[in-house]
Amino acid sequence: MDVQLKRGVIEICVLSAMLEQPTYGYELIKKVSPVIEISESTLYPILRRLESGGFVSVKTAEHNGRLRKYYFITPEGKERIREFLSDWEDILSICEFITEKYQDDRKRIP
Amino acid sequence: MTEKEYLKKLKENLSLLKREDCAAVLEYYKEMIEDRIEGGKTEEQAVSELELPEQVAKKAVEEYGVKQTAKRQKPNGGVIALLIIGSPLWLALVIAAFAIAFAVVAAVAGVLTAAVAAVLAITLGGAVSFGCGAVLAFGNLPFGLIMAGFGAAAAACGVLACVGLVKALPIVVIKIKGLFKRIKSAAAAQKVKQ
Repeated sequence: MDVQLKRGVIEICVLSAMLEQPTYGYELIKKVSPVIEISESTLYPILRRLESGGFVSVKTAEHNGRLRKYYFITPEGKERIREFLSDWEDILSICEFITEKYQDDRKRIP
Repeated sequence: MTEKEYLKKLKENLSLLKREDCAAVLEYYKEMIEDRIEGGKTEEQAVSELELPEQVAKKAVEEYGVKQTAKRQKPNGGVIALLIIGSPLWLALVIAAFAIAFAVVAAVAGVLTAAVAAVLAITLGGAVSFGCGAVLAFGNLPFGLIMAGFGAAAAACGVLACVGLVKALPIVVIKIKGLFKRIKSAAAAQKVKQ
């Protein structure tokens, strides 16, 4: 996938993985991996960006005698997802246009 | 690699990060390894699923590292001091280089001038000889003819040499220009090194 395209999408993907319940790092990797390729080193800056943007809040909690960071989505985070989906509705209709033109071209006798 | 080894390697490569950023990265990866172990993997398995600590560190430094501006562009006090102290040396060398270049140009110019003068002399001398010979022939035919003959030959040589010079001149000029360019780039390279 185009790198720029992936960048725009993967952040919102991570965000939506938190909607169900607050999650920790490894759980995010497990939830998102089936949908889009993501490594720990990719996730780290995403989480930092989301937190500094106010879309995510972080809490450290004790788990089995060690500390674990849990990520919560904020109302701003949910709004961000809504915006993303709205943008993509527009992109999808543009895609329809592109697909139509492309298919027409393929049908023409070469 | 054990968890300890991985985190140690990672920390070593994160020296360009601020302390709190370095700690945050280490904490994150420690958690990633330990969550995998909790999920049933061995320490070795958990670590092997991560990227190499060097790669991880490189990405982190790129994003959060203290930006190193090209130090070479900022001449610090030490470099300037060295340049001043060393100036008798490099300044003398630069002057010498220019002096040599000037000498070469002067020498070539001198040779060219001499050549031109010689050619003119031969041509004019030849023409004069021819004229005199022609006049003398009236009184002393053999001598006059010889003189005219030599004069004509000299004039012809002079003209040929003249044509040759005219053709050679542009080439000589280009070669001198090339020499100057080489000197300039050598001097510039010296300055950049310092």
